[in-house]
Amino acid sequence: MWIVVVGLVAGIVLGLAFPIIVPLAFAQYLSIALLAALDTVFGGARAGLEGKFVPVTFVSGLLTNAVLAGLLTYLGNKLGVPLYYAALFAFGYRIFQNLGTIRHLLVDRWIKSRSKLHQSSL
Amino acid sequence: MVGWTMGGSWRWSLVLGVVCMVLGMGLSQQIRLVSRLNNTTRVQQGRILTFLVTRTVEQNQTLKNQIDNLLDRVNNLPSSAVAPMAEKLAVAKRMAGLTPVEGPGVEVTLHDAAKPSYPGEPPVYQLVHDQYVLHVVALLSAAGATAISINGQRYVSTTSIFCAGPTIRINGINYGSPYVVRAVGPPQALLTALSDDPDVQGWSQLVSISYRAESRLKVIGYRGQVQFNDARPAKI
Repeated sequence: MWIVVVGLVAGIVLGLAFPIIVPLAFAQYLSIALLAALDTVFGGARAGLEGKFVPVTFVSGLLTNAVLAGLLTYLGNKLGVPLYYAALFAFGYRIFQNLGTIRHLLVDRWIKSRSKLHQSSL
Repeated sequence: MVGWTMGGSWRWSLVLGVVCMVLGMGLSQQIRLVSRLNNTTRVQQGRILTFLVTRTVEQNQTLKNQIDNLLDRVNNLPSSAVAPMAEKLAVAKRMAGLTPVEGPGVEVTLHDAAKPSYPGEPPVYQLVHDQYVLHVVALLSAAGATAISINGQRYVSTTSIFCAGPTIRINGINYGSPYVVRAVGPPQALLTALSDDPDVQGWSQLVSISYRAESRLKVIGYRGQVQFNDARPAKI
């Protein structure tokens, strides 16, 4: 778990300290790739809570989702079909669904731990 | 948490860390990019323009309210004070051509050529030009017309008649053929002035110019803005 936090913080600091910014033309692709990555992150967190986390799945999912989302957006722009919005909708929807599940899992866990505490004190 | 350590040698933790680092880097780069996007000149110009439009709309509203207030005050003035001024104003308005008038006069219609062009005839010869209209107006004015309108535009002291491509701009508004010049004045004198004029005779060969006397002709008033920004009253 700590490696995740360390990696994230290191990445943010590195990105802020980087002397150059991604070119303007990439803004759209980077944003959608980030959204895909965030979706995978929340999926990963959920899997972790469910005890089903597999690093290979997580890493491969994160990379392929991000790259594919960026490529699809690019293709959409070339074709004149705004696939950007489709990706936005799909990933956004999944993020919120995952968040909901994570909340449920956390609440369940909390309730269970409380009842355990209650039983042990009895 | 069991999940995070499951499936895992330290190598996978490392990969996870690196991936998270890339993710964090992407995040901060995107945030920087978006903040820079918001500061580009185009976006800022848009904001400035929006602000200006909003402010102008507000100013318009205030000025409208001012107009309403002033109109109220004018309407509530005592009639004894206003009546002589109103009489003077009515006379001045009629002299300035701001009111519609009627009387005997002449109506001249200038129409682009309807006949097919002669072989080798340049197309410009088939059109009614601003000089034609100007000349007709000048002729009528010289022959004693007291009120002239061209296509619904009253001929006043600020009137302009100028070429605007295939149309003629009169008082800032573009008009196409036909051009109807109405003049209130002594009909016989006006008709003679037109029929005796060699230019009108010549142009009649190219385009269609017709005129007829009317016993009751209505000439509308000038309806544009009257603003004399530079011309101020001189002391005599």
